[in-house]
Amino acid sequence: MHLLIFAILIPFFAAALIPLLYRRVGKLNIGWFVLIVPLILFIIFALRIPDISAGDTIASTLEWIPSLGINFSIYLDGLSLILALLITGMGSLVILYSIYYLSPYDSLPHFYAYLLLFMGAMLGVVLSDNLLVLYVFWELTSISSFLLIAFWFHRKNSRYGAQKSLLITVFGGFGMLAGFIMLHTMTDTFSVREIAATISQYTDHALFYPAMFLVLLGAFTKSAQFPFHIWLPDAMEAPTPVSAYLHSATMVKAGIYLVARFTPVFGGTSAWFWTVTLVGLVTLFWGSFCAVRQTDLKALLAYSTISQLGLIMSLFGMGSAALYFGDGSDGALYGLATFAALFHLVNHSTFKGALFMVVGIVDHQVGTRISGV
Amino acid sequence: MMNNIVLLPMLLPILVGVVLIFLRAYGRVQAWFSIGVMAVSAGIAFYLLEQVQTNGILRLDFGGWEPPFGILFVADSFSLLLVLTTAIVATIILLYAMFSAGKFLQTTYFYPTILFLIAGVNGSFLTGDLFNLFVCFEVMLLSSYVLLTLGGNKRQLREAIKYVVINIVSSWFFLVALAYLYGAVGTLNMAHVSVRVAEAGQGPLLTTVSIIFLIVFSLKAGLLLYFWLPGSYSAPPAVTSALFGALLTKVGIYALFRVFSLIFYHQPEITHTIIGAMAALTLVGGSLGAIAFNDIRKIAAYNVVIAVGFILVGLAVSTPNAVEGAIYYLIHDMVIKALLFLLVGTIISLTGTAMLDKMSGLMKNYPLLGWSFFITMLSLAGVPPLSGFIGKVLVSEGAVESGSYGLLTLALLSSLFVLYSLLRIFKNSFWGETIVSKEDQVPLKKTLLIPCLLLVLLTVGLGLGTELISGYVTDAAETLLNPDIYIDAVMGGGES
Repeated sequence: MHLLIFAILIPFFAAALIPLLYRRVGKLNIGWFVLIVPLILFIIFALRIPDISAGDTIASTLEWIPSLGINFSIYLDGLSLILALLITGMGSLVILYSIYYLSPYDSLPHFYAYLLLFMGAMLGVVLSDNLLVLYVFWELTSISSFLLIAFWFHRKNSRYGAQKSLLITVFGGFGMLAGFIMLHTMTDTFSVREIAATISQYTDHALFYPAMFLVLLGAFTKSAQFPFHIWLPDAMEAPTPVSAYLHSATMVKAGIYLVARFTPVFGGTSAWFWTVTLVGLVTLFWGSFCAVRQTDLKALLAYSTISQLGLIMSLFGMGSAALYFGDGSDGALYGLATFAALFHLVNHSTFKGALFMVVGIVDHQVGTRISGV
Repeated sequence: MMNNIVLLPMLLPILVGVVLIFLRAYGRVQAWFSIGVMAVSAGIAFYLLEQVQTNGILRLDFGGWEPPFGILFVADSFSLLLVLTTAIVATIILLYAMFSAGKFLQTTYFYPTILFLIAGVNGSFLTGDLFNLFVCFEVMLLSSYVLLTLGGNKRQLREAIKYVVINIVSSWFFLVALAYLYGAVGTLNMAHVSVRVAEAGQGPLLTTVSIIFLIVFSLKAGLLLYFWLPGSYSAPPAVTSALFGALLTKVGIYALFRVFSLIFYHQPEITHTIIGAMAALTLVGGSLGAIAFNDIRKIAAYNVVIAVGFILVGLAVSTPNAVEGAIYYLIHDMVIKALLFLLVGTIISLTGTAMLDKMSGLMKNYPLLGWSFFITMLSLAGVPPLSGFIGKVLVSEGAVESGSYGLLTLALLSSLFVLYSLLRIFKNSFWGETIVSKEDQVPLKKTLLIPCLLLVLLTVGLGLGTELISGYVTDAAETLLNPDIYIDAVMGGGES
């Protein structure tokens, strides 16, 4: 059993400790203690960079329900590592920001407990190899997002936004679960790596395409792709650090991560190529189109996030064609799209996170975030 | 294997119940006695469950009459898992009853009636004889008539009339079905009936008889014929609703599983297709009902209906995975429905209203209650890693394997309706502006919260510790899917 399993569990333990710790820290902001968690995790993951970039991977398993093949198994490769670094890195910055952003009258222990819950769940999503465990963490991210959006639950709009986001993402999650179960019925395993290795035998299976579309349903709802993007603008009722962290930098990338992770499974088929690319392009267009007529700065950023997510999604769609063309020059050309997608994923997280934080400061100092007033 | 202890889960509650009748005036004493006897039956059920794993199915022939001549009790893993869950859930509900029920309820034969009800439930789970099943059903129903009317407000009496009439009609149908079956195969011992039906081949006549059984049990379980359920489950006090919601429909579901896996399994293209269609309609009707009402008791009652539909999808599909999933879900549902009704009852006692639009901001006043409700909501929707998850996965997997995509879609969508219906309660009653100040709030007694928290722990524990019960569940599913195991244990001569 590898130490990295604990990297996922640490945020959960820390979240459970907060209610106990909160009474003891006195006047000091509890955020300072919470900040330690993502910082340490970031360092742990950063130390893996040399190994992983040399082509190594790390896999480890902790048994949960072995009789049904559902185990807590983690797998760290380049893709997971990029996401893990984003989650812990952005997490540290957002927590630092929130220490100064939130008022001491807000319920800070709740806020940080939810945030840590989210961080653990998100790390679980990007590190899990077992599909059902991935699904467990996937739903946990939805739930922590729900709790964070409704952080100021005395506001009607917060409650509405929270409910909308939960229903849409959980709906997608149920679809994704059905897709995972179909994959299990076909291949008799829940491990993504084993599925990717054996899926070529099953491309003619009657369940292959239903499974693909159901998995995509989960990815599209989570990553706010058209027409499921409608929850993201309403989610902006959350405190700004949450918008910066969950709703632009990390959680909405979970769907994109899923598409990237499943490209070796479904990529190379024309259905996957066209669906992912077209949905991405439509989202890219519609997001930017809506963004230009927003006056609320956060809503503007929300729509621009939607369009950027569409861009990354469509790049992954085009990149999947590399699997079809193989090693030739065409394949290398399409492969570039995947590279651009990954690069822009990191890019977008950093610049959009920064933009949200700036808008938060403007809101704080000016008292409004409606431009043109 | 013969074993006299098999009788105890039914006998003990009856004996103690009779004693309690003479202690009418002492509410507290009755409560502790009842809790004690349920805890003991939980221990017995667990002991028996272990015995079944090592020695195979246990049975007890009354009066030494060997099957198929006498009446007998048969305990396999499926029965015992349900008896065990019943005992645990009933212990916790009784704990809640001790602190919540008013003086009137405590001293009007409330506890003895509950014990008789549980005796009937356990008897139904354990009996190996169809006529005996009818008797146990009646024991359970008579107690439920009393429980439903205890308290005697107008609404309870109105619902009780409907409930009693419907159940008497269905009991009559039950008798008719038994008479036809006895006329056709000349026995009512379940294992023996199964052998005879297999020998005769399940012809049109027997299939028709099986459909009468289906109607009878569907009425009890609330499968499609659930029109009586929301009314009568939302009328009585919280404790009674919790008992009903957790236990009563489960007996009907148990009977459906037993009869259609042990006896009438030869014509699944007719019977199981009908069950599938009924389950589908139940899911739709329950989902619509759950989001249509403003009365939180009604919302909870419709959630019972949805779960019945979901579990019966498992029987309709009847692959190994689906049956195993249905058993997991059955156990989960007993726990979580008890919890749901207790929480709803607590909310009503705190706010003085059952109407959603009249409550707000309870989270500030009662945070622990709020979080308990939150976890309940997620568990009911089958969100991992709580107890509803694994059952949902396995039932869905069964539906995929057998190509029942319609049922799969409905089952998964119904979870979404469950989530939405409870989210409405959570959003309206726990979130929002607090309308009661700290000074004016009705104090929430810790003693009411503890039973709820115990059930929350149980749902979390069952979710995380699925592996601990997976051996028993697999064994239970295997026995259900291979009728010969059950038949051999009963008819294989009376060794010992």
